[in-house]
Amino acid sequence: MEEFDVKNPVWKNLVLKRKNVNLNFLPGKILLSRWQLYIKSESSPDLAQAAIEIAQLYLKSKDQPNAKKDIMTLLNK
Amino acid sequence: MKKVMYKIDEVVDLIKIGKKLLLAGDEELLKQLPKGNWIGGSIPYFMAKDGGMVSKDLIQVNEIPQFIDEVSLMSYDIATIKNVYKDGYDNGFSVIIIPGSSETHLSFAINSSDYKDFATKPLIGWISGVLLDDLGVKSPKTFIGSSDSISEKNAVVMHVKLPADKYADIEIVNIFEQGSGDTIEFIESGFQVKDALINGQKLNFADYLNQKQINIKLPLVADYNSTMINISFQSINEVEKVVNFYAPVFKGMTYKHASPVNNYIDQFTKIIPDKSDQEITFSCNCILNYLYSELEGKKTGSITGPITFGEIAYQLLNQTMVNLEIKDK
Repeated sequence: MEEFDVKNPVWKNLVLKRKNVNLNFLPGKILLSRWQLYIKSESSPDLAQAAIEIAQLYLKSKDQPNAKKDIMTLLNK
Repeated sequence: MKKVMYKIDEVVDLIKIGKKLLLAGDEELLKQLPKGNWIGGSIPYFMAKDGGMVSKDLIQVNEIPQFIDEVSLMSYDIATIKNVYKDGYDNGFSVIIIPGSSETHLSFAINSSDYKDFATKPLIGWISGVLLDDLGVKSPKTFIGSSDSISEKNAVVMHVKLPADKYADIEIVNIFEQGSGDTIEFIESGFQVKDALINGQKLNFADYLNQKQINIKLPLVADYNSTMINISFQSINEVEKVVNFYAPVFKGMTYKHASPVNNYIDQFTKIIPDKSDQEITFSCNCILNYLYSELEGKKTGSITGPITFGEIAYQLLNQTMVNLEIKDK
């Protein structure tokens, strides 16, 4: 697995739905949906903040199997 | 199978020996309990050992596992509920009970995704209720054992700290999927709507539901990155041409009406996890599942818990079952 970097563009691409993966980690899916809804409704959304919050959740949860699976998929794909 | 339904004297004994308890039961029973490490909510409907049941004589007990040393009991009103995620332990989980139809319930439902630390700490719980025959006569309540207080407004929360080698895993069990019909979006967020965008065309939503003869026992379903989140219909007001829901719809979210379910129990037992009740620390199921599927006397696997006026797994849900497991990292 690549070194975990919250500034990796993969997180921004995930928020922008440019990277489509089947996620397993429930809070990741819920938080991501919240940010995707926010981005859809804002004319100039704070994408960096959205990407960092998602990345930080995964970083914090990286010992949990479903989060680990998602991180592997996102960073190695 | 572990015992979950207790007589009041037995619950008093558990409280007196310092057990950390999540309680569900009739208001008149919970009122009589002594101070201690417990939170509770009013509800007389349960998933019990022998299936769905109604009781005003027994209290349902979920005991926090003995290896857990530290819990914090807190009460939140409409002004402080925004802190519910932030106040959770960094490695832990929180169990919340909110009085049904209270201002805290409505505010949490609409605003929780804007609260600090939303979804970053596990939050599970339920909306308290009353016997359906008592709707409008009695109000749903919450109880907090640390201060012996009862409320029809405030949420109660047990924040639980986990040992470093464990984590809390919350699961949503939902038999509903998005159907293949129209795409539905709403112009405003809320529990009540007048108009909707149906495949992009603005229509009165009440008229649309009537013209299409939509079965409102089936929820609207939103796709949260492959987790299905339901919004259940409460009623259609034909006079005012508005539609009421049990959870808020969100502006910009895409919904579809759920696919039909032929046999709830069959469908449900196919998808509930094959786990013993020892593995699941807490679970609850929706009163609408209980009513529409006539769950009284029918078993929902080995899973037990209150049957509620709404479920919470990070955010408010409808027509689902939620489970909490504590697992090794």
